[in-house]
Amino acid sequence: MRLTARITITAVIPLVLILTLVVVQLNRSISYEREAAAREDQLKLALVRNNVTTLLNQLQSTAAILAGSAETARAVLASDVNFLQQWSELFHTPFVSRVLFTDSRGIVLARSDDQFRFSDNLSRQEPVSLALEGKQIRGFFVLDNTISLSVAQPILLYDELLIGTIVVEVRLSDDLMYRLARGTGAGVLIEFSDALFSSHAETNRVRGHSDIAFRYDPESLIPLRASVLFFEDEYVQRLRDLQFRFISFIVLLALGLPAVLVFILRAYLRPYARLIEGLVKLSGGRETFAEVRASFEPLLAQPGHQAALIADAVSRFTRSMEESIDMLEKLSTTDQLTGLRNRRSIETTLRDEIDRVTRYGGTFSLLLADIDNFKLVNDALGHPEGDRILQTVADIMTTNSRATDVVARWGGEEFIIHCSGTILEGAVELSDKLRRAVGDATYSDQWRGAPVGTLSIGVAEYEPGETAEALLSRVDTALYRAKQSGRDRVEIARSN
Amino acid sequence: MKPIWASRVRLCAAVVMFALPLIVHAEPLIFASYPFGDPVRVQRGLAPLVEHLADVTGTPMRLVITRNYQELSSRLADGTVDFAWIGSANYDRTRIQVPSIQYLATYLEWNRERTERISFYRAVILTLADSEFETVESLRGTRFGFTDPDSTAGYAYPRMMMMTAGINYSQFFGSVFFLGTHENVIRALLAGSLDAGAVSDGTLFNAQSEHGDQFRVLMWSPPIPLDAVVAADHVSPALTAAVRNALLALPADHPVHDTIERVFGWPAAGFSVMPDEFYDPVFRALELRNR
Repeated sequence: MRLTARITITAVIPLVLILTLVVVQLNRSISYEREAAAREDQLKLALVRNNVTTLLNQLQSTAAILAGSAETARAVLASDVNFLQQWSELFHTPFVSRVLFTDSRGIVLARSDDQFRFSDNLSRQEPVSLALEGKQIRGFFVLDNTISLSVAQPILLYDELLIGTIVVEVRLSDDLMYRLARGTGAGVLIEFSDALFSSHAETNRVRGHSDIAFRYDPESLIPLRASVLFFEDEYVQRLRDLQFRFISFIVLLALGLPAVLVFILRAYLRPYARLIEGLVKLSGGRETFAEVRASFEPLLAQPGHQAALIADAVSRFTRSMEESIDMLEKLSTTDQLTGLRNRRSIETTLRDEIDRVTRYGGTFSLLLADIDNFKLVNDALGHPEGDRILQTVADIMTTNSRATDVVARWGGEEFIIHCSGTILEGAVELSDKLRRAVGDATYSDQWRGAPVGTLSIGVAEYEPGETAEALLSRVDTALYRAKQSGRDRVEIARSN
Repeated sequence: MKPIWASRVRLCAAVVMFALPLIVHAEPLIFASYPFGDPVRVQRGLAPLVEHLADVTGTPMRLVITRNYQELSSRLADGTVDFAWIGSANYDRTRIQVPSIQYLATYLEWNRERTERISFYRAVILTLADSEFETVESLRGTRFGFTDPDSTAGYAYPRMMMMTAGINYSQFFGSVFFLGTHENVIRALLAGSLDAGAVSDGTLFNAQSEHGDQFRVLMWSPPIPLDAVVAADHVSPALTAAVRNALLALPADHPVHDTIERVFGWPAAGFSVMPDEFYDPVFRALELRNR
């Protein structure tokens, strides 16, 4: 697993666990509160039912008092609109909104809420029609286009002769529902097919309900619903809101935090990744020191960053390594005495050149030179002087050859020159030039003015398909002939 | 020759006898009226008269509006009312029950030209101008409104007029209602709860001023004696005389009359003492009713 993923998981999981525990605890609190609320609901239901019973009792007692009064009977018999209206108006309460009297034919004698509206015939309209049949009725009725909870009964003279009816009503309204619910903490709702009365507008807070028994007679309107509403407790609601916020937070955290962490870690670890990548490539040999250092350049542009310090150290180290390697490489390809390329180096060059010519075409020539009678010089003058002669000859060769020519010490007093892109004639010409230069040269210091010596040189041009060994053999043979032919001369190698 | 002290004692006794009723009445006397309109308006319209009588006689008085005609009659009989403004039919009925009731004066009004003070008014049977009814006879089976069984113009006279025309209202109309006051009859008529009704001509005139010419009079009554001011039998002759004198002394332009005219729309013109037989036509109307 990648480091970024590990760090992210390590950071997120404990947080998510802690928050989940909080949510579980909140859930337990909510459950406890709900159980308590359920117990309270029973109490609220009882209170509302008591209010409903009080309402019905008030309607019934009002109807009974008015219907049983001798004054009412006299006024009904006398069609005394004024008396009936004024007297019944006194019975208005929050639970009695209207009293209506009719005569025995169902003709309205008085409405307590409208002094000048009477004389209409309600004999065919419930609940008056039912009261005219001698029934005591209670329930929901529509009278004067208004739904009311009504109690209706006949008005009897001498307890037997029906002389009229009385209807005591309370109009259904949101306000009545509110009064029934007031002080209970619950709501009340009554719904008919085309009307809805509710104590509270915010029905969205309702979490449960229970039916109310209004004990109405079967002739009355049957409501679709008559319920006590239980509202969401504010404390529980706050707990639920808190729980919701926590869950939302956990979800956001689970989704967002890893992304943020990955982003941050990647941004922070990117320099280290580049460092590692460079070092891996370097160790795999896929990039050179220089390439690796170049890849570290952006890191070095962030001073103070630890990765920049590491990159700088690595760069310095590789540069030091590169210099050491260069030095070693130089040491391994250079002749210590003359400063020329050594035999191993020229052999490599020779093979590379053969590969190049073989692939791309062209030619080259090879010169193999040997200082004549050098052993005698060494014997006579000593090795230090011999070394000086070797150095002088090396200088002459380097000076008189072209920049593209590679001059190397082949071993002992032998030198080899690789002339890239040079045909045999050019090589012969260079060989002769070198022979004369050495022959004309003197060396300084202790033996000032003394001649350096002479050179014998074998020359060969590379022949296609020829191996390095074959070429060297040919040029060596040519050198041998030059020696055999009296020295201080140039011999051309024979062709294979 | 009688001693001087004896004549002085008699003089003192006379003074005490005259002043005693005024002194004994520490509680305000009750001046009551029947509710011939909205009780609050009746209170407002008659209050200056009662205050004036209290001032002139030096006797505290309080105005009370009874719930109906019957209550006024009953309270005059049982003595819980001292003085009363009473309708003529109500007066006749009460004086039959309580013969000792003391008549003080009759309320007067100006005629329509305001050239003559009259002691009569009339009852009318009316309907709405846009109704289909042109005569009382055409009202058969309709909804009819009276004021009160004890009202002169709102029941007694209209009933007498109907009987004279051969109409027994209890069988003639579809429904009959009693609205309590003349104004209520007008308002119920305008509300469409009645097809026709009976009120005093003064109520009709006020309604015409307030609602315009929306009414059609189907029948006018003969002249009806205007309301009377009476005293219960327990009120002393001295106080009775004092109140009567105060009423008779009211000038035509007195603020009391202005208030009555402004509040009730009646052209109040003062008070006058009428002969005993003045209220007999009402008595006859009531007799007719009781047959």
